[in-house]
Amino acid sequence: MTTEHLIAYSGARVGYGATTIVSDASLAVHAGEVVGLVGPNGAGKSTLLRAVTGDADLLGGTLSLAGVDSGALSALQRARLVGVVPQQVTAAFSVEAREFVTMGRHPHLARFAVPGERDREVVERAMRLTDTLHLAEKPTDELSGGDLQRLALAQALAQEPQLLLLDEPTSHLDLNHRLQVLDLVRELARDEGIGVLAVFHDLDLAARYSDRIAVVASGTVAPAEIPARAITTATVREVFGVRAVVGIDPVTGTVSVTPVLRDGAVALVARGRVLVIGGSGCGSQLMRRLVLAGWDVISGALNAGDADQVLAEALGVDYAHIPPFAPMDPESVGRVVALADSSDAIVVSDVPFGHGNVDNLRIAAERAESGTPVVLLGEIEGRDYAEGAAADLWARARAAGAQSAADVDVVVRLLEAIASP
Amino acid sequence: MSRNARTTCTTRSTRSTRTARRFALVAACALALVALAGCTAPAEKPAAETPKVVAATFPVTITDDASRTVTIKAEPQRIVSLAPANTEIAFALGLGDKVVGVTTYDDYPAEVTKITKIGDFTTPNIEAIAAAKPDLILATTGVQADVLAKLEALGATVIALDPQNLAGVYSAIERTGKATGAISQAAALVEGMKVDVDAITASVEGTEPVSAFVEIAQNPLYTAGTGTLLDELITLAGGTNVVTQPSWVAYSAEQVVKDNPTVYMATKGSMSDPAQLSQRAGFKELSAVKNGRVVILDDNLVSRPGPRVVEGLKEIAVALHPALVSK
Amino acid sequence: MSRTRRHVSSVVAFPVLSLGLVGAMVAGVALGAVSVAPGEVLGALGRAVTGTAAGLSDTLIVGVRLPRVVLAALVGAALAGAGALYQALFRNPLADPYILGVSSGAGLGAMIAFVATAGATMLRFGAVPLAAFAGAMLTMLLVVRLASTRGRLDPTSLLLAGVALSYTLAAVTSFLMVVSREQMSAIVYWMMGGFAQASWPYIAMIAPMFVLGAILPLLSTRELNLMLLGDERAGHLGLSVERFKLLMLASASLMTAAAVAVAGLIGFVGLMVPHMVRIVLGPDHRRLLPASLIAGAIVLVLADLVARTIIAPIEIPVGIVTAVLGGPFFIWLLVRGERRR
Repeated sequence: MTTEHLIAYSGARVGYGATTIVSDASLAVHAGEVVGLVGPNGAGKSTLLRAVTGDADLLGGTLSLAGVDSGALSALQRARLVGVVPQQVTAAFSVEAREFVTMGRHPHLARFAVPGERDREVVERAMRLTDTLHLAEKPTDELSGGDLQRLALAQALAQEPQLLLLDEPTSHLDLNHRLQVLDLVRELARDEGIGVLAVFHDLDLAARYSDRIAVVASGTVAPAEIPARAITTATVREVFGVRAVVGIDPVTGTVSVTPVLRDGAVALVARGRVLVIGGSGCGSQLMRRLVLAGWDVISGALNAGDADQVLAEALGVDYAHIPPFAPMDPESVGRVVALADSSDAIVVSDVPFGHGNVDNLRIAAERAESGTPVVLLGEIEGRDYAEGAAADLWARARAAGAQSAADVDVVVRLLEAIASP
Repeated sequence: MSRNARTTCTTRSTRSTRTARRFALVAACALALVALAGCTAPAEKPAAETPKVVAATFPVTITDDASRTVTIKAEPQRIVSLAPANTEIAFALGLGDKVVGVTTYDDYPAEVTKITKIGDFTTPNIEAIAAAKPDLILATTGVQADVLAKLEALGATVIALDPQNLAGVYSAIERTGKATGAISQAAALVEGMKVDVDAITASVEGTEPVSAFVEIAQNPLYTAGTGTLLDELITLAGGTNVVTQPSWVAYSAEQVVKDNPTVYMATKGSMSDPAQLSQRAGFKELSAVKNGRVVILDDNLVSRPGPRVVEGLKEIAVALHPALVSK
Repeated sequence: MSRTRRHVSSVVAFPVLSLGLVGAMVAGVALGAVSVAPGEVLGALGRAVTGTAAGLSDTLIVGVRLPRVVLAALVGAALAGAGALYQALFRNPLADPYILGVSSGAGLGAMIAFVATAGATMLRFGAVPLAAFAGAMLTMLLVVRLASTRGRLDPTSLLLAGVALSYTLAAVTSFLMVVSREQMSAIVYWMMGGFAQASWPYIAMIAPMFVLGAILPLLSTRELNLMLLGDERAGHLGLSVERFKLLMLASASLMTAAAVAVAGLIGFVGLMVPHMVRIVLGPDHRRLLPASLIAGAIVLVLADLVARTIIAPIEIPVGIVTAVLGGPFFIWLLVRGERRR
């Protein structure tokens, strides 16, 4: 495949002076695609952009732009190739908006030339695409932040670049303008064949607008992949130290990241292991609170696709897998028994019990009878869909000494008392 | 100035009585002149009665040029001079041995190089002056005005002399003579100077006054206007000062071009080479430049209000009427 | 479509400025300490053109006043142009031509020349401006050297280095003044700035420097506009920023050094004139730079006229006139500009 690489990093080391920020970076951006860079602060995403503009140093390896070695480009040549949309646009002075955009024609204007017909056309088009034509005669110091940002994009487009670099250009824009700018950028990539390399802090936006995403962390760049593969629960936990639910947004069909808790927020106290019996989202709060409190949390049997199952995956909670909507089978029962045996305590959430999952409750009751501390959340009334079997097991557990808790806070307190008597 | 009017009492005492009488007469006239110059206290010495030596008797009262009435209680033995002109007067009156302190600007006569320096003309060093233990200080007014008060506080006797014209120079010499007991010497000196001046004015008498300009400083251009010593010297030497404004005054180059003086004079401190004048914008066209009538004057002669001012007058006369006055 | 036009259009501004310059120069030649009839003034000028100027009256106009007016115009243009450039390079409205210590360097150079030629004042004519020029340029080179880190010229470092050097050189100059008292009044008067020395040879000395210093910036007004966007952005749009900064700095310093060398230290013009022009014409350098040159010339020609006529024959140092007249005028412009918003 000989798609032209507009940017080609190969084994590159970038940084400033003697300091290396990112080493061994290999990344390519093709015409017509949007490549997003995500990663924690200070990882080097901006540095990778700045090496393309020449503001950061290439300390090793190669970087070529449209086939030409980056170091061989003059400032003018580079400006004809690369357009930059900055993070913040400050209007320290005041010119007419159209004049501002016309500054983008500089790399195409000969030494003493004045902007001509063609230049005016390019400027007009750039302003039309960015919806800034109606601002043409206004002075820049009278424009809002959003208008200015779009104007800066117009200025970059006036350069007729083959490449667009965006460094988190939408953080201070309102929702509407944020989508407007990003929609436009993606369109430009598709329709004009411009290659886009953009730094995103918002993972959802990155996933929504990028064709491929490269994760930059700990001084390295992971290979660029499609968003679904680049952003996973494991990646998010590893790179950001955040346990998040990574799923597909039902409306847009793109990857969506829902953070649950930060690794750093988890208490460092070792409390012991607790088995949470949940399902249908009823165990979610419990699992989260107990993980935060420092417990080693495991779960009973969960159906795939169940809300609790997705959270368990995100939190790194071990559980017995059962297929969607399927009842517990002997294998999963055995698994849960084993999990229960290894626990110091068991918590039963207010999940409704039916024939498919009543075995979870049975195992809890049996454990209670053999001395494992058990906490029961709520009352069994209204939750028994197993023709009385659940109520019986509930009573058995109560008789065996299982404690009752009215809400999640009480559960946590009771468990604390159990952990440190 | 060709004659050194330095005489001593012992020398005088060997002359004839008739000469002594003439001197006594001159001394009386000098005293009268001093009285006319504003001395409020009557001279206590009846000079005309002594046949032989005109010896001063102390104490003596002088009014100086700062309008101060100063009493000198005894004949001064240690004199400090704060101006080169005053130093020259002191030496000319035969007081050279008594001078114990001079300024860094002093350069005449040659003996002054050996005398202790007590600071410069604009800021005399009070401590150095005190260390010299003077019983008479010859100062000036103007820049030294605030110094006078400080010196008085030291308990020193200070006389401020600031002649603005020839008559003032004579008066300064005479008052210095009175204050130091060198009255006859002062009279003789003044007499000699007047004779020399008369000689010069006589040699240019009857001639058409030559228009002249004298430059004191270059940047900014400063000149001596009416009422200054230089102005008087120019007039006495057979010239007319083109400057009609009074006192020391800034002058515009345009005005010099307009006035177009026949002779352009400059003091050595302002301009060292006559050829320099042609460098200035427009000055090349001045008739003084075109005719080579640009003369450098010795500031020490024309600007110092002392005994040598007559030599300065001669310099100017030579510049204005080279054919009539010989060097 | 509503247009907010706060600035005067070029069509009006430049003819007005040009006429203003001609008018100022004519006034400067016609008026002075000595009054000359207007007919004679024109006659003298005419004769100057045909080369038949003769007589003292002509000399006064052509030999004394005309070089003075021409020199004032050149120096005014140089200072205002340099000021506009420094303001663009530093993106700081308080930048003036002396910001890099160039004035202190020139002062020291001149002081050394004064002391060295104390016994041979004939040499002063050429020695003082040359030494002042050398002092100014050497200072600029030193400041640039001190402020370059990793090949980049940081505006803050430049400012700090300039200020530090300014103080040091001024101290050395003061010391020299105390040690050589006789030269003190001459050097102080020189420092206050003035055109009393103006002559055609002097103009021959500064004119090439001025042209050399002005030519590059006038051809680079588009790039100067880019600099307003900030160093990084200007670079992204294709400007070789560090090289450009150095070239502009050199040009501005050349103009400043030449101006200071022949006219001493005249303040206000370099700082205020570009500002006044900016308020009226806007920040676009394609208009700002040429207009600053012309406006600077007008201001200084008029200031010199006032300096030498108001209490003739005493000449007030030009710097005092520029400050006294210019400060309040600028305040008025500023207030007027604010009210319009």
